[in-house]
Amino acid sequence: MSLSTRARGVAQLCVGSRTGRLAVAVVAVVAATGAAAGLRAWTGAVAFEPLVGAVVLVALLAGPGAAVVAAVLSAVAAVFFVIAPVLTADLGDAPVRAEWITSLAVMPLVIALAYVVRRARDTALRRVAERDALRREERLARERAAFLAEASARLVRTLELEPTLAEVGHLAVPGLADWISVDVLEDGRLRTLAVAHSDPALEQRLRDVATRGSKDLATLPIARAVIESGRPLLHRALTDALIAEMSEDAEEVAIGLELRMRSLIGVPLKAHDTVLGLLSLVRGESGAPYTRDDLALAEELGSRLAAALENASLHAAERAAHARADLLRRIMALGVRGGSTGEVAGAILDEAMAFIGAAAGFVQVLDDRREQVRTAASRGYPDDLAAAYAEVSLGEDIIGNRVIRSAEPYFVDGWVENDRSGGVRHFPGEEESHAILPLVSDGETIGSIGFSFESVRRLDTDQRDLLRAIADQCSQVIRRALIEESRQRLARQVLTLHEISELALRAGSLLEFLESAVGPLATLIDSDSASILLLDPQAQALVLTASVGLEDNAADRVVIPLGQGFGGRVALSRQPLVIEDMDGFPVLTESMRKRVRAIIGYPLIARGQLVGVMHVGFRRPRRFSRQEVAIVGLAAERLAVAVQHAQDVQRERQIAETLQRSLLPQELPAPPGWQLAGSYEPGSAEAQIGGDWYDAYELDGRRLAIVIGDVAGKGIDAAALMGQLRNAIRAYAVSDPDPSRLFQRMSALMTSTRAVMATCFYGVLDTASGELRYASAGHPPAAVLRADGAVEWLRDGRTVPLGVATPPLVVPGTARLRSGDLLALYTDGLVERRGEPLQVGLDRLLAALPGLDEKLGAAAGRIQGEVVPAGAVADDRALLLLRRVVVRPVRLAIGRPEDSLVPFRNRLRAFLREAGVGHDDEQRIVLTAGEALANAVGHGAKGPGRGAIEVDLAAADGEVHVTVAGPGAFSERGPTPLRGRGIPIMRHFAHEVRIERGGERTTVHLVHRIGNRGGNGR
Amino acid sequence: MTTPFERSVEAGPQEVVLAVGGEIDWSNAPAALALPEGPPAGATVVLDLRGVTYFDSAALGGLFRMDAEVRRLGCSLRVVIAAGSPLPPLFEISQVARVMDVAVS
Repeated sequence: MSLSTRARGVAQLCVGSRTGRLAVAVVAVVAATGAAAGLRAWTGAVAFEPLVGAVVLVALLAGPGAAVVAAVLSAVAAVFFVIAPVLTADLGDAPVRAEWITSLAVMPLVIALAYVVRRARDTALRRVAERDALRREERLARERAAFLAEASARLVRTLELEPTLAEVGHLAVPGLADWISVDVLEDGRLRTLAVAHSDPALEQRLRDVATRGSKDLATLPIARAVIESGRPLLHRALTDALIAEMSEDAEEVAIGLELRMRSLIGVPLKAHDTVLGLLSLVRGESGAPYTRDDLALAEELGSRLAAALENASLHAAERAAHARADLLRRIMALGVRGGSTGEVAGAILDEAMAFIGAAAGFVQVLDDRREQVRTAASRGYPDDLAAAYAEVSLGEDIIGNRVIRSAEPYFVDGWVENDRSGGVRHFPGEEESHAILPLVSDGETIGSIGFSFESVRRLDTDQRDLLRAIADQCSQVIRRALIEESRQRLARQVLTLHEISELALRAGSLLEFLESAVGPLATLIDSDSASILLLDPQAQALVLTASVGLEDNAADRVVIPLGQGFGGRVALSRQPLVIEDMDGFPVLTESMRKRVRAIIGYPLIARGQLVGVMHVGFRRPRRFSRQEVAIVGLAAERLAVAVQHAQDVQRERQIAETLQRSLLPQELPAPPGWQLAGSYEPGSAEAQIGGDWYDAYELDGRRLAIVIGDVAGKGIDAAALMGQLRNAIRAYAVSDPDPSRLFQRMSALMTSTRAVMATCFYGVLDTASGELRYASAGHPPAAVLRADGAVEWLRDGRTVPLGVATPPLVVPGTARLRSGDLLALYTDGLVERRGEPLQVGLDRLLAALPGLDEKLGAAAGRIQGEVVPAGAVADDRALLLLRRVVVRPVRLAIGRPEDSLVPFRNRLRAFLREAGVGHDDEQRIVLTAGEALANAVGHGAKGPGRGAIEVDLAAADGEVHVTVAGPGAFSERGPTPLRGRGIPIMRHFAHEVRIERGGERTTVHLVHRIGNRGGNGR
Repeated sequence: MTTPFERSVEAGPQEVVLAVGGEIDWSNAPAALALPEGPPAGATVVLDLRGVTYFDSAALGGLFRMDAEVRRLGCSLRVVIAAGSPLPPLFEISQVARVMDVAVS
């Protein structure tokens, strides 16, 4: 500090106050008087100048007031100390007087002058001061406005309130306050959102205090006063006592004291007349006490903060609402996504527990009989506890059940001894609380959801509302999952029921059906076993026919007398029987005793007739829902119908098959040189006999009719119609075998009798020539497999199926069958397979046709099995094979003729039979051949080459050739009564007799056409 | 060895029944168709050939021989043959019925 500054300071001090100014006047006058007296004493001259000078000085320095005082004092002093001595000496001294008077006159002048000067200076000074003040105010206002603007801008922009508040606090520090704090009111407690202090160390301490949690408003009298009144508070001068009153927090009080707080402003943060919080500004000793201006500014800031708080709380509320909505939506989505009730419940728990911060949770669901409560999902509980609650009876008095029964939520703050686990705590820690809410859907309680917290938590209204909302949503989702689950179960059960019915249609036999149905039956309600027992009406007992899950099987012939055991009782009462715990029930078999503890049994009743009993069993006692019992009942109904249907079908099938087989030719004709074989198989699956048939019969000695056909339709009717058609064709064919006319007459017959359609292949075979005339009424073409392996399809002579319209006359097709040729007639069932081109089936048939070595009868059976795969659904099918026989030529050497006669004839007969030669022809040929041999023997005996007789036998294309070559000449003399009848006999019975003589040997050729009764001339 | 055959004779005062069965050919015809001893004059010899399954021209010759023999003894021959056997056509072409009394049964 410079000297001049100090002097100015002193001067300032002097003239700063009235006392100072008076003192200046007195001192100036005393000094001037002293000087004047001194001058007088020293020079003897009276000098008033010092006094005048003093007054002038005072006027200048201390203003007009002090100058007047100085002038008066000067006048007095002049009189006493300057003039008085003069008065005594030269009082009348004119110059002295004049000077004194002049001095006196000058003084007011000087004073006036000083006044004027002083006034002018003051005005100037005031103007400067005013200007400065104005500038300062403007700057302050600008600063405050800028502060407010900045604060507002930040507050408005912010989404994260707390950091922004801290920034705003730091803007206000230290200008507006040394300590600023923003607190928010939450349920009667204040929570510090932001705190700022000019001293960073103190700020940290304050922040530490704030983080300890919210403070009860009751402990903060000043804050409470502000908040409750809703009016701002200004304390210009705080006392320690007041500071101590401000907070009950010792540390905060300590800081307050340390701060030397001088003034305080408290502003309630109000938005829409609701106090949201409190803004506190504290100024320490360093600054001026707060003024009204400061208060106004604080209020401005407060209103902006309040707006920001409101926004933020709206935002937070919105966010919370969003989060809740999101949670509820996610829970809803879990329901949409589907899954089992357990899965859905578990997922809901995971979502909800994470959201509300629960440590454990469960969802329990009431069964459809409203008797049992089972845990659908459980999270976070100790295993033993979870197990204890896995399934409980609703009747039991435990909290969860109470919630379900009352449909009222239950909130527990603190530990509650759980009812089922004997004081086992939910969590290892000491603190816990629980909330259990009912799951209510459509006004019906379907279960409960519970949450447990690892702390004592008083749930506020909001949280309880949230839990209710979660429970609500959960109810819907669980309900949906339950419905979906039961729908799926139902769908599965319906499918199973359907499957059982399907099996009934597909199965070949009743036993096969029951064995295939018992498996699905067990899956119906996931039982451990299922059994079907059929009633044996004669024995008045049930016979175990099919079973799974029990050791018994049908092979054991388990027989349950009516009225005994479980099944017997069901059968006798003809009522379903449901036993949830079989303990003590008198069952008959060991396996039932060992393996069945709960059972549902139903009688199988169809059309009022008891046909058997079925039951499904479980290894453990269990409850059955109404639905489970009902679905087993449905299965029983279907089973009963299926059993009866199967029995009916079996009966009908037997009738139809018997009918069909009785209508098919029992024995096919065997024209000489031809082999015939037929086979018929009923359809495999539908238990329906079709109208396929085949027929072959001799029209006369040399013509054979062959027929194969297929009547549209199934069952007994088709079989009966087939019989009619077969007989009609027989009758018509005998009177007029022409295929074309036959078809016309058949069609007319069928149209007149309104019979259904039939396809038919009809042919007339000349057994001698092998010529076949045929026609086909919509029937697939017959196949000819030639001896050399070539294949021909008989596609000529085609017309519409019989019964469709009167077919136009057709030109019958012709084919010639030679030795070794095979004609195959078939119905479509033999070649058609679903989803397969017809040609494939035809090729398969061709491949299966027998070679020359195979007997036709065996082949006909074999082909039936080969072309239809085992177990496939197949139509009925008929096959008729016709082969022109071919026999290997035989050469016989005759040794001693008398010994060879019988063996020769037997061998010949065997050959002829092999060649398909009929009885009459056989006798004929044996006779002629015998004569030829006898002749050879007879003549050879006389000739030289005795013994060397050879016989050749050959058969082909309807002819049998016998060649006997022997030594010697052959007599051809006419017959006499006693001998020589051989050759006429040969000529009569053979169609051709050639006798060749060459050298010493004679050869006799005999040709017989078989199938014809006579030889030449007949 | 000749062809085996069956033969039985039942002799009565008025009627001698000779039944022959089996295959009759040239090797056994003389034996099979030999006239039984001493039928009384005026008796009827019934030759039952219903059991015959083969009958050749030599057998036929034997039959004619027997017929001549029977006539010589002043008896009459009656031949019985089975309808489905080989004999009717053979008898037919040999016109046996013109000579003998043939019954087809």
